[in-house]
Amino acid sequence: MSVEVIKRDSIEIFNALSEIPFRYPDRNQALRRITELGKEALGSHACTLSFANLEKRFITVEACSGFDEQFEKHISGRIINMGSLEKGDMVDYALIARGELVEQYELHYRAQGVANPRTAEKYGLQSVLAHPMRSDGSLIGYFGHFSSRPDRFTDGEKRLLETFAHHAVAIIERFEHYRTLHRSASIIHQLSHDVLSMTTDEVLRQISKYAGQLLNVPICLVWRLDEPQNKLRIVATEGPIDNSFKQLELSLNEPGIAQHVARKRPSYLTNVSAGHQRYRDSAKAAAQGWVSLLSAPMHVGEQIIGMIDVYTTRQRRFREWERELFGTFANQAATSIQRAELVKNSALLNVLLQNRQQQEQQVLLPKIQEAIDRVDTESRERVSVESELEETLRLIAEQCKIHTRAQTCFLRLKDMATNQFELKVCYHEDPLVKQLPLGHRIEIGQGVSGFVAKTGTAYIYPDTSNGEHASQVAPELKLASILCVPIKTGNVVIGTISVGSDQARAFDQNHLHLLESVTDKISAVIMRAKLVRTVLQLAEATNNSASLRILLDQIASFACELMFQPVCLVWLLDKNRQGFVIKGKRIPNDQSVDINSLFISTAGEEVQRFLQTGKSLYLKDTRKASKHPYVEVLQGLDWKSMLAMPLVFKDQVMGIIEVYSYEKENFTVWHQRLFETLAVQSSMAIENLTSRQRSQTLNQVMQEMAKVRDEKELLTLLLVRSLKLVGSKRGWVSQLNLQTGELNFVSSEGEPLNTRPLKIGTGITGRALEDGTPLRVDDVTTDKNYEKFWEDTRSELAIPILIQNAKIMRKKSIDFAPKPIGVLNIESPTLAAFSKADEESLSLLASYAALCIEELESNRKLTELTQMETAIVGKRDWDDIIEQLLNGITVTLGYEFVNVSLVVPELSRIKSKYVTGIGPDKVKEFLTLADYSLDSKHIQAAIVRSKEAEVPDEEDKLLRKCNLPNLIRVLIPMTVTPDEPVMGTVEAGYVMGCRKHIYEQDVQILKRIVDYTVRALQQRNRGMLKRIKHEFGLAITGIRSNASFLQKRHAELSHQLIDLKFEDILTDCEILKWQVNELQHILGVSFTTSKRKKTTVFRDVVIKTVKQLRPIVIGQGFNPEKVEYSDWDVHRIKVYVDRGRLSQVVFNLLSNSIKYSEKDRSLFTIRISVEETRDNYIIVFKDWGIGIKKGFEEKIFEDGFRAPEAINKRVAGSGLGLTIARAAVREMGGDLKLVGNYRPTTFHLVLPKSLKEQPHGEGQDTYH
Amino acid sequence: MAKARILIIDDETRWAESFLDELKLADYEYVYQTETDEAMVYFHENSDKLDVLILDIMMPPGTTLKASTDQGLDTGIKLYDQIRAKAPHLPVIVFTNVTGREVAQKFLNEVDCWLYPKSDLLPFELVEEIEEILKDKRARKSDDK
Repeated sequence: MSVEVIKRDSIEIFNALSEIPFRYPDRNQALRRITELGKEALGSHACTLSFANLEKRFITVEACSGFDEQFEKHISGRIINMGSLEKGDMVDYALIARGELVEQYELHYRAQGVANPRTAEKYGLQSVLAHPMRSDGSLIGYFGHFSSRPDRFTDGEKRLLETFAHHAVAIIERFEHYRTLHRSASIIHQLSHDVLSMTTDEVLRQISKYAGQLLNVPICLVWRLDEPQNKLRIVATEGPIDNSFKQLELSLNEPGIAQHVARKRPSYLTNVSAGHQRYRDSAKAAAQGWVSLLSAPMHVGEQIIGMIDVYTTRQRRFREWERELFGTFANQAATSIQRAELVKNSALLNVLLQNRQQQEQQVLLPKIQEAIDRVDTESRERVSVESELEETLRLIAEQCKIHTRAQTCFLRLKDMATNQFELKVCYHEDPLVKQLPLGHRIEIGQGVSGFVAKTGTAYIYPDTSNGEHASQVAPELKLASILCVPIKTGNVVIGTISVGSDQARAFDQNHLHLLESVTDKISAVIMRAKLVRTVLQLAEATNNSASLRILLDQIASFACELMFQPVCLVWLLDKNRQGFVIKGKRIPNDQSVDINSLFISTAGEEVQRFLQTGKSLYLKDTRKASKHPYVEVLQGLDWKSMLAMPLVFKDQVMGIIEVYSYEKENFTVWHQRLFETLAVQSSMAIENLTSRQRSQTLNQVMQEMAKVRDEKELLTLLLVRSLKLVGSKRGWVSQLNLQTGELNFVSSEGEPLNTRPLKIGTGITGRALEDGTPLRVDDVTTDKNYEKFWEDTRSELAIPILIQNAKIMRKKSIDFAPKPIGVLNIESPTLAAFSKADEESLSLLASYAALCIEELESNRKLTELTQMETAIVGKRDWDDIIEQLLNGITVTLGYEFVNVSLVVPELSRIKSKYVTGIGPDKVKEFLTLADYSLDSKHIQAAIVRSKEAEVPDEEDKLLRKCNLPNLIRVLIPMTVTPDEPVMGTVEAGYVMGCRKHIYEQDVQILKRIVDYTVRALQQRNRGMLKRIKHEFGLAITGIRSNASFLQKRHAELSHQLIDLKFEDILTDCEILKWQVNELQHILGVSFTTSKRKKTTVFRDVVIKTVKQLRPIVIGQGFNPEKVEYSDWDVHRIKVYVDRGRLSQVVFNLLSNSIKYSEKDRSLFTIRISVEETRDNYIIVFKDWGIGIKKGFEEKIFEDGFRAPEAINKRVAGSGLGLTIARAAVREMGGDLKLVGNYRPTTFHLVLPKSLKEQPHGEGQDTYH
Repeated sequence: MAKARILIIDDETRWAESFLDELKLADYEYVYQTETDEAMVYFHENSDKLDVLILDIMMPPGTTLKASTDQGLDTGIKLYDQIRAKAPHLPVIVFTNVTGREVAQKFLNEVDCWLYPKSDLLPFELVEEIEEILKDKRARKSDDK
């Protein structure tokens, strides 16, 4: 770029420069425009305008115009520290301080003048030329010209930059001048406006404030001429000024002052500390750190009224236009002061002041609300209520300070514990001014705040330098006047708010009213914070209190603190006394009151009304409250007014809380609301603690219950613990008899009038069980259902003891239904003594007790079952086993009806074989009709097919026919594993009364019994079958070997031997025939019998059998001749019998005699004879074998019984022989008896003589 | 001269009869014992004279064997053990009516021992078995020499 081009354009550029102060109201925009024009004029890569602060050694880049926006943003506003280039700092202080031209190259790696080499490189900054800017000879900054070229700057460029920098300074100054003018115009306008609504003092303070603002100076003093004494005194100040300085006076008689004032225009000193003949207090000013002074006398016309001084803390040369402006301001201020003084006493002022006060209030109150809201919205981040409150109070103090034009505002709050006033907030506009430490405490009466706290009225202390409190105001606070207003709640002072000024008489009644107008708000803020804190404390206390009593005492303390009152009493309901007793309290130590005897009865109408309102009761003068329950106690105390509130949780009155004040009529509506809130919170806290304790207790009780092994003991424990839990002393517990539907009395506490059983559904008790829900009756006298167990019971709680969700069976699946067990009854002589919580707790305990009882019952059943199983093991007879089963199902499991049906496989039918629970007249009919095809749809057949237990929902017609309608029943298949065929079914049920369901647990037990029975039956059959198989094996082996021997050797054998072999074979066949009988017996298959024939019994049956057994006798090594009988007997008995079967009986008896013979073969003898009575023939069988042990006489006839001797002797046999034999004889009308145990073992086979007659028709064809 | 000398211990006399008759006709000399105690006395006195022993494992225990057992299985097993202790190489034919696996296994593992279910063998088949056992024994004896 050539110099010529610059010259040609420069005129336009400089024209544009001179327009800046008028076209750009904003300073930043103005400065940026300068750099923009500089860039244009200089053809720069970028231009910067920086201001230097040599004292603090930094440069601020105030404006920048570059090649792109990013760069401008990066550079603008940047603060660059000045240091030493050698030490690597960006800008060399020495260079700048000397105000020399800066010329630097290779910025991209030396990086001087910019932030760092990277920035230089990034933005292509190669070199910089910066020219100093000076104003009145002082360096104010630099104008920088950056180049993207590495070339050295030409002289032409340097000269152009110099010219531009000078112009820039001129433009900046003009801009400042213009701006200050503009500002002063608005200030002066404001000042003249203020005068109308301000006191003289305020006007003076306002002047000092504006004077500072006008020229951007920190310190300002306003002097007022005391005309009579011709002295100037400081009446208002701005900025931190030592009190001692404020006491200075200047006499107009002093020549320097007089000369200055007379000049009518401002004078200045660049350096006050340098000493000047016209300036007397240079040392004092220097001590304050002041450097330059501009002072203007205030004239109204020719009359001098005072002087305004402004001081800088840095050296400053006030320019001509600044001095002129300041002079104008001083004269305007003088006019304002005079006008203010003129209207001071006029009526107009009051109107204006009132107007202003209202305006202030209108401004201040919303400001305070704003402060409160601000803290509220930000409060989530705050840690504590305390800090939140302090923050709110700080913001309030700030607003109060501003609106009372005070320098400071501080707030003290009363500490209820010490009665001291603690400094919570201290706000001073100048943080450097020394303040009292937060937390600083004063006693009531001490200092201004203490005085206000004591008197309870606001107080203006116009001049702290004298007066009664002078010595109590800390001098370091530099407070010349103080206004202090009490913060009250009701009549109680809970804090003070003070504003202070370094000017005497800074406050008047208007300020006082203004502050008073906001104290209610402050009080509310404090109380609200207190309430929040109390609620939090309550919650904490609830969690930490070891006992209710501790919590109640804490509640009393919290109430006293919250309400700022000395006394609080917490009453709790005593359910056994129909009233309230004191359980928590806060009473000052110096008061001795016997509160233990105090009692508030619930009976009184007044008390009832109070409890029902749910609102606080306010007694303005307790000693005049004749209906107060303990007014006589209050007579002796100075508890003059009272707030009381019922403690209620979920509509249940649990107690009363009362606070007392030493003052009469001490509570406001607001207090009442606060107290009501506290009461609600306290109720919740009490409930929380009691419910926590309650759940601990419940837990303990449940553990206790789990250990009890007896139902009655368990129910008694439930009663005793329940009473303790709800604080009652009377109650009873009953258990449901499922058969009768009656609630039988189990045990009681207290002495009930009677212990008669109650029907389910009657009385409160019976209803509770029927409905399956607890019944809480607050007043039994109003309940028709109440059955009197105590004369004076007023409220009752009936808790059903039931399993809410007992498993039941419905068809083949599991469902749930309640299972009633009994009822827990708790009573009280107090109205509405029991709460919902009581109800819930006891319900929980009762249902746990129900579960325990169910477990006990189930254990009992299982124990009985085990005993039954043992009994079943002992039973050999099918009937006996089934009898045990029936007994177990009815007695142990409590079923009323049982039907055992068995499958008859060969007929493919299922038939009832055993039934109990129906009328005796119906049994036969039932057994006949309960016979169904396995292919039918009948439930019995269905169970056999499905092999699954079922509770049918349809009625059985047959049962209805047998007078058993409404029977609920379960059918269990008689099978152990699904692979086995079903033996039959067991059907068990009861009439639907109290028991409406079949419980799954009972079904399980039932299944177990049935399974066990089935297994026992199978076991028994298996054992017998095994033995029968052995017998079969022997006989078949015998037949086979004999047959084979005969086949192979018959040619070599004698006839005699061959006969013997055939005899052997026939005997074995006889044995096989007998075994088939046994198998039939086991299988329950009908015996085939032949027609009875007239038989000569001894010849055709006995002797024939003896012969058949001969081979066995010989085989055993016995002498067959020892089987003895008399020929005389041979023809004696001729009767009609089934010869085949009778032969088997005899065969069995004789084969036993052989089997159980003594080892000594010589002893072997069997003697058979016939005896005769009037009605019977008796065939007597005697043997001299090992005999039958005493005690086994009847057992030998039981199904499957085997004597120990049989086992030891390894005698084969199923144990069915005698059973079958006896059954066969009995079927014929005779009998088989054991009449002698040993030597001889004697059996009597009894045949009635009636058999001599030919029978008419056939007898029964089956037997069991 | 008899082909061999056999001791038979079995309490089921009726079953034994055809077998004894067959052995007699087949020229064997046998001693039949039905009581445990007596059988053992005889065995101890004559063990060296025996060629084959036939034992039913289901026997009443007698007084020398204190085994109290429902099934009498222990009796046979104990008898067998005593026999084996005295005559380790005596061929023993064991008859049983029970087919308990454990019992069967015990005898199947034994050397010079043959286990038969009682119902399986006919009298002449028993004789054939004995002849085979003896033939075998003789063959082994000549091998030893």
